Amino acid sequence: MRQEISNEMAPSNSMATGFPYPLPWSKLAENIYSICNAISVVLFDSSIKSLAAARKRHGVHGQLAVFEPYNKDVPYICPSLPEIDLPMRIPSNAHLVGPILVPTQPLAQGDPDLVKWLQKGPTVLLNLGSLHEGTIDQARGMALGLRVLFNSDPKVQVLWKFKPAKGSDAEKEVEAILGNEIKTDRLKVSSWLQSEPLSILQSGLIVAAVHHGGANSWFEATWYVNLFHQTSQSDSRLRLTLISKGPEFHRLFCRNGMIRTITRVKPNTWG
Amino acid sequence: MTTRNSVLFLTNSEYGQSNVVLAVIHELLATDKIDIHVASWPVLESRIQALIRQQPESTTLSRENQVKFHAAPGLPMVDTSFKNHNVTKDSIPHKPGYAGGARLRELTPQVLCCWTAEEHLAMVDWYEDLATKLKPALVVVDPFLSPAHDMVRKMNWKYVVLSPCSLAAALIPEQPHLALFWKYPGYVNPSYAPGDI
Repeated sequence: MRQEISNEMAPSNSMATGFPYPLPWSKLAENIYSICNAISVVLFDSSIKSLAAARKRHGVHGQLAVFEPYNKDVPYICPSLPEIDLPMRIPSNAHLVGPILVPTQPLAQGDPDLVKWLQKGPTVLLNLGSLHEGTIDQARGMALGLRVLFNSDPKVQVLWKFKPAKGSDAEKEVEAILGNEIKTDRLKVSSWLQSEPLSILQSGLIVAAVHHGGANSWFEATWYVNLFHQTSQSDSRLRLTLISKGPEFHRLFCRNGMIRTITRVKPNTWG
Repeated sequence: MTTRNSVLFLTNSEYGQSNVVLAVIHELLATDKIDIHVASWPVLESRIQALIRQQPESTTLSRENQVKFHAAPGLPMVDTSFKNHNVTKDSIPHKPGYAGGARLRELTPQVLCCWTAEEHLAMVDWYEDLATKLKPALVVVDPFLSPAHDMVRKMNWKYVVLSPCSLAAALIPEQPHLALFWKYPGYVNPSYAPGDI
């Protein structure tokens, strides 16, 4: 399945502008500002400058590698592929090789009960990564988004790896909104998944993967899920985009924990 | 016994950084032709041991010699950010564009240059001693482990960068016609991160 790839689908991280690709002209000024802001940090930040001076005294020359990510004389290997990445000229020392994965135990062997449950209905995997600890506002926003999803499809199931922030009532908030779905086993939510998310995706039984946009999660979802979600962590909004194999999209927005809208849009109308 | 070539992996230990390292080690173990050395932090050592236990026995090396693990000094990247700069999991998300500018200026050095100068240089020296001792045919470097890059460049050692991320952040500034400003959305340079950050 090849579709126009927007920035929201590229493996971006939390330290980014969050703008789409191709960059709209309306965002040009802000984009230039953001990039110049980043460059000025490298040039003028006092801790970076004192590190540069200390390195020089120690006989280490040249820019810090994190601020000089490309060197034409060094081979680079990464798990991307030109078909799924941002369109760009790729030099011969950059090797986009596709999946770089440790083989995992097939889910049918490791967790046959989970396989049976996944087969009962189309299932969404929601996992925002090991660093995410949900506050009560985030829990409410996601639970309300899932509420809409459950209402829209009587068969859909959700497998949610959710780690609540320490001392928060986030778990109680989820139970208050989605208690019925938990009771009727349409929603499995816990802070720990017995099986590796990769193994779950490789089963082919997940129809949509919602994740935080980290590179590993992004690539895994791309390889193994035909229908997929992505969150953008680049700002305080939590944006969930469901892309269907069919001609329609459902788009759920949560701004500051509150649902904004559900819209059906035609393919390739990225906003 | 003929001495085999060896490869030395210098990597952070966060899952997001080291998954690709584990995958490549898995393949190298299957070929059973190269000595494998890894310099990193304890959580990766446990994962490597678990990986080895799942492999068939090697014909040439005992299990404990299949991958030699070398414990790096200090702490890996994310833990160091938390320790040195009071970064927390909640404090990393920020607003986009103009609104996020001030926070980004603060966050960039705290995450990307998390080690103090002393810690950074101690790591450079430690990597240098290790490479001098092991004489690897190739060093494989984590893109976010700056002290490792400093060492291989200083010693002119043959190296490869193995990244879990897209190379777009590295390649966008190299695109013609200053496309990084007007065609591609901006990232902190080189802000692709594996999700542990």
